[in-house]
Amino acid sequence: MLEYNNIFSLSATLLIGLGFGILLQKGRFCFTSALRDFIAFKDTRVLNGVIIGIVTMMLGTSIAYVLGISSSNFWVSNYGLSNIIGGFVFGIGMVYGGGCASGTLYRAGEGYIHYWLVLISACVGYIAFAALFPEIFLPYFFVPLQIFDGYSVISSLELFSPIVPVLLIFASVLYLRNRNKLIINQTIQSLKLSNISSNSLKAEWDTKLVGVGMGVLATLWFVIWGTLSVTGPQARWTGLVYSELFGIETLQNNIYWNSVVFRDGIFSISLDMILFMSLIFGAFISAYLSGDFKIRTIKTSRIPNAVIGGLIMGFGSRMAPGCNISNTFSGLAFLSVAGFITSLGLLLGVYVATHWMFRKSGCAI
Amino acid sequence: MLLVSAIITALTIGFLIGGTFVYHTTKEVEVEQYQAVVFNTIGKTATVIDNHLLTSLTNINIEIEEGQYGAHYNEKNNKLYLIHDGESELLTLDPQSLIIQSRVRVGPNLQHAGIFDDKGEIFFLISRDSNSLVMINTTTDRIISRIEVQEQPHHVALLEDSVAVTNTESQSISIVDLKELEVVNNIKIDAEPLMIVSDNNERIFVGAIRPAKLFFIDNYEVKNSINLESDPHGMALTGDGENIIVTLPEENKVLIISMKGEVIKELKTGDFPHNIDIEPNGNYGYISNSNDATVSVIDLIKFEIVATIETGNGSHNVQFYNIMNSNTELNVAKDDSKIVSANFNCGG
Repeated sequence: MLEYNNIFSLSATLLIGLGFGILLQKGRFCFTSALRDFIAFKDTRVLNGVIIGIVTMMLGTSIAYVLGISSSNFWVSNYGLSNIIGGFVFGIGMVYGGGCASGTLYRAGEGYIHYWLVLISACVGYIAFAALFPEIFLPYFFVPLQIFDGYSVISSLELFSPIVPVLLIFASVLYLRNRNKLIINQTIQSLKLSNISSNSLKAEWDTKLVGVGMGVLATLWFVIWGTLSVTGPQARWTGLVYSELFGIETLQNNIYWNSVVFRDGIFSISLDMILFMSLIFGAFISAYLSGDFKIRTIKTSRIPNAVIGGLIMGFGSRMAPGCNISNTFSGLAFLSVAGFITSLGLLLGVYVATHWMFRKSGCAI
Repeated sequence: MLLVSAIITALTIGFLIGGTFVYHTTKEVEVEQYQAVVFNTIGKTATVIDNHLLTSLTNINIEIEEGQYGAHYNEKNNKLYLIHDGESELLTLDPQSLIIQSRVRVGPNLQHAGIFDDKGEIFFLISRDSNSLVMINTTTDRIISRIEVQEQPHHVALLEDSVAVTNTESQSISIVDLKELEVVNNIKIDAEPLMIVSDNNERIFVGAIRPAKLFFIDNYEVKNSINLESDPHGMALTGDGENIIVTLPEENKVLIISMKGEVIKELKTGDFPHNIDIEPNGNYGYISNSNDATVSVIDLIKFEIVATIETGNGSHNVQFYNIMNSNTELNVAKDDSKIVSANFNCGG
């Protein structure tokens, strides 16, 4: 059943997945937290890590592209109003459910039943979306709205693509130095072996360093496989489990499963699906070794958030298409128009949902 | 910060709404979105092409016997005809699942090429050994007429109220009146005609062998002919009707020829370019390279080969499914669909 038997690719995938899981857990790298904390409380701690991760990935992938990695490794979706609507729906689901695609995974690894319920609900959302795709979403959503051809600045610049991230980094350094906010020495100091102890490893890691690590791993993944994504492989796992329960014909007879999710026509386990699983396992190992792992039951009052939030995320990620990782993290790193537009919709969704959910506790906006 | 974000958001949404409005006010764009499907006769597969990325997406098996098949997609009735070259049966298939739905006995030694009338109501094909043009009702799949032409007919082209049939042995073109259902004219040429195409002005272009020539026929008279270096096969007109494209399988190239008979460009293709099929929007032509399992995609504006796409063995011809046409049922939940537009990417 396993599609890839190349031991190197498989080993690298497992290691990268574990690495992602560890970094996400140690940095509490959640896009919902990043945006919600910024919007509601003007706290940029996690957001800075996210931005650094995106720029690192942009630099890494552009260099890899120049060195000969195929342009097909870029996931550049067609775009239109569908992206902003899908992103908006996903953003609402993120805030209501309590975590983004990546945040949900690392928290599931930490033992939160709430986030396992979000994951399962998102899978139900994929199945429902696939059932509605031929009659509703294809003719009335994608065909009329997703009308522009995908475009990525990085893949279009070809040999000159590294110039963009280099300029971005240069401009950021200048800006921060002028404002006396450049803390490179302090960051380097924290990396010294003498300063690394079991306690510091168990504690929460600097989100900026985690961002760099995420960018490096995302680049390695780009070289081995392509675009880093979460809900795509999650949807494929859903499809495989669904086919085990109801027969492979259920996938073959549905155009969304047959031609979009498994667009290569191969209903088997792919490397990105293995990465998805190893990411959760990496978060579990990290949480366990740090003493953060604990089976945490869900409060009854939070069940609607997990179920409805997960369902909305499932639908939103299919409508956009893609989640915060493939659009905001990878998409912005590729300077993809679809990534930018979906991220904008996602931001709007987070803005509206945060404003609504925190209206009683005093949102900063 | 909030103001800048609001301005960027408003501009982006405004651009998207404006772009969507402009896109949909262009009626042609709204109702036509095509999916290219290559039919491979040796491999007995259909290769679905991503029209945007110009790569192959998937190969779908077709349960048919060995042989060479010409594929003809009927948009009106959402059905696919496969003509088994040299045999006597026309196969009708579900165009998405590619499952054979019926077999129609048409006549001996069918030729792989055929053509629909403007409304897609009639399918014209050739039974070589019975020297006849056969007309099929595409709704009922029943033969509505069988018209005898001259010796060893090969291909057919549509004119306004008639069709033109090439007769290889007789070295002639028969003009068949569609009201009278009889041959009203036979145009004699000095070579054996094979493939034929026509334009909106009733001009006919004929590729012939022994000797290898291209004939320009207007008002039922041969106005011009040019010699070719080897036998031509696939022929198509560009969307503007200004040029004709001819494949030379033995030379592994296509010729772009003006209406004056001047070769304005030669392009190298894959091995044995057999047929050429033009996208309905007229931007690209797909050349089936039968011996190396590829199609070469030609940009019909710049006259350049812009992509070579791997297919199954024996790529024969390309059909284009209009996924926006309600008749195709691709946009209204066809449960056993296999071929759909693959421009929708599930992503991350």
